[in-house]
Amino acid sequence: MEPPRKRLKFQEKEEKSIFDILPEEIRQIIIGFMDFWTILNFAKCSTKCREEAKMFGNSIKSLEICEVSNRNEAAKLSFVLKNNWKMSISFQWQENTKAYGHFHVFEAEYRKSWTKIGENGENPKIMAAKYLNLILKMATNSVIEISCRDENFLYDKVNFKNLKKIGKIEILFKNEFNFITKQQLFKIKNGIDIDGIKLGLDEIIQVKSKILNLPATKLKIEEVNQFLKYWKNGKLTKNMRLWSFGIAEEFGKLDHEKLLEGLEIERFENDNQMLIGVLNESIDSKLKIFIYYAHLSIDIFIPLPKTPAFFE
Amino acid sequence: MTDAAQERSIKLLSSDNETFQVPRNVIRLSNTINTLLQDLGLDDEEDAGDAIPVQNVTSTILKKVIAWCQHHHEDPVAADDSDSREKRTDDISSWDVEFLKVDQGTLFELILAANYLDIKGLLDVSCKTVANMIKGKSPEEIRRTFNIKNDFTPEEEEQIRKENAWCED
Repeated sequence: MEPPRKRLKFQEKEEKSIFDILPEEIRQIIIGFMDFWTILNFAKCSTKCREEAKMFGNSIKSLEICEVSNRNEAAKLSFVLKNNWKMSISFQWQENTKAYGHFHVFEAEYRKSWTKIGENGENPKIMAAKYLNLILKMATNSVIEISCRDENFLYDKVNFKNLKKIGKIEILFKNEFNFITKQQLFKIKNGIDIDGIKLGLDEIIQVKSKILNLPATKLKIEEVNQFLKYWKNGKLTKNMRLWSFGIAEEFGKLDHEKLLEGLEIERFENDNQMLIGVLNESIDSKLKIFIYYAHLSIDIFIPLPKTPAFFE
Repeated sequence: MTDAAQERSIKLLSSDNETFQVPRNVIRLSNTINTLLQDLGLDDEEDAGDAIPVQNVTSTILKKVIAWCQHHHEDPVAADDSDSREKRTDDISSWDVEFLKVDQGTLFELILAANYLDIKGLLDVSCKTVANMIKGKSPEEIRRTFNIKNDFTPEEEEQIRKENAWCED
């Protein structure tokens, strides 16, 4: 028997999905307002939802694993997505064992304000490596850089020792004690502290990382001076990502005059730091060098034009 | 835009042939209308002439769009965005929350109208509202809310279940 006409119309209207009504460009805007957790649940609804979530191209801007001093939060996995959502996940494990116990807390934070906006409860028996795997399934990166300052912690506790690739994504671990090759160094884009590689001027120029910290013993001071001059004269178009260049030194051993020779600079005293500014006329920006005397090190920061917060 | 242009009104014609008289200063939030008036050289005219047809937007929705513009036309102009645009969804004003307490069909029509008329503020806030409707829901709840058909094969579904067992209650 044919149902009443009015009822049929109502049903037709109800059967329309979000995909029938809203065009792709709008669906992508909506996905852009979702945190990772919500995108994940949305992607699990259907193949089309999964495609949409993938299409959003949520690349991971940074991924960090760190040890948390609190006994209940033994490890923390933090990552920032393309749409500026920062997520962090804390893990805990039983005392005196290396195995993870519980996925302890989930929080999503907005990158700019760092406001905690949500929290999910406990989820049992999640290993950090498995969670990482899930994150990477939603990412479009070809290379992921993972920061972890302590090699032993990374290998023993998080059990990431042999993780070189997940799916098609190459995994690059960055930590001070990691023996990274030069080829790997040139792929890193976010930041790196390295200890075991000597870099010449030609190689410093090839670094694409925004942050590079090196011990003075691995550099020739004349070459760093030449690098700064190239930057000042706008000759480093291939290396414009670099905005922080740190050189660790034994206090007093680095020849600052040699380092800054031929560079027009302004000096400002700020607490225990000395701030030196150099005007780069060719790109109408200020090249600033910060020298910190704390921790017996010297950091030289070279902000790009679009990082005004750095020197304002 | 001159003072006279700000004080005058524009006529908009909905898809179901209802005419709305809207202060120019209010409808300035629509980039589509702004561009149209500028392209036709009508922005400084005392009388913009015939009503501007707003295709695909019904009188019910157009009325709501105008009400939103009326409330927000004196808001400070937001800086242009893209990457730096705030992606948080907990910053919707109480007025907008109340304004967007509508059925899903109306909400989607408002989004489409905001997109067509290029009213960025309304588009953002209505898309945030949809994102909030998804937030905190399980995949099954999302499917029910938005009539999404689960087309995963049983094998795929089992795989997803295994992969995500830890994040489900």
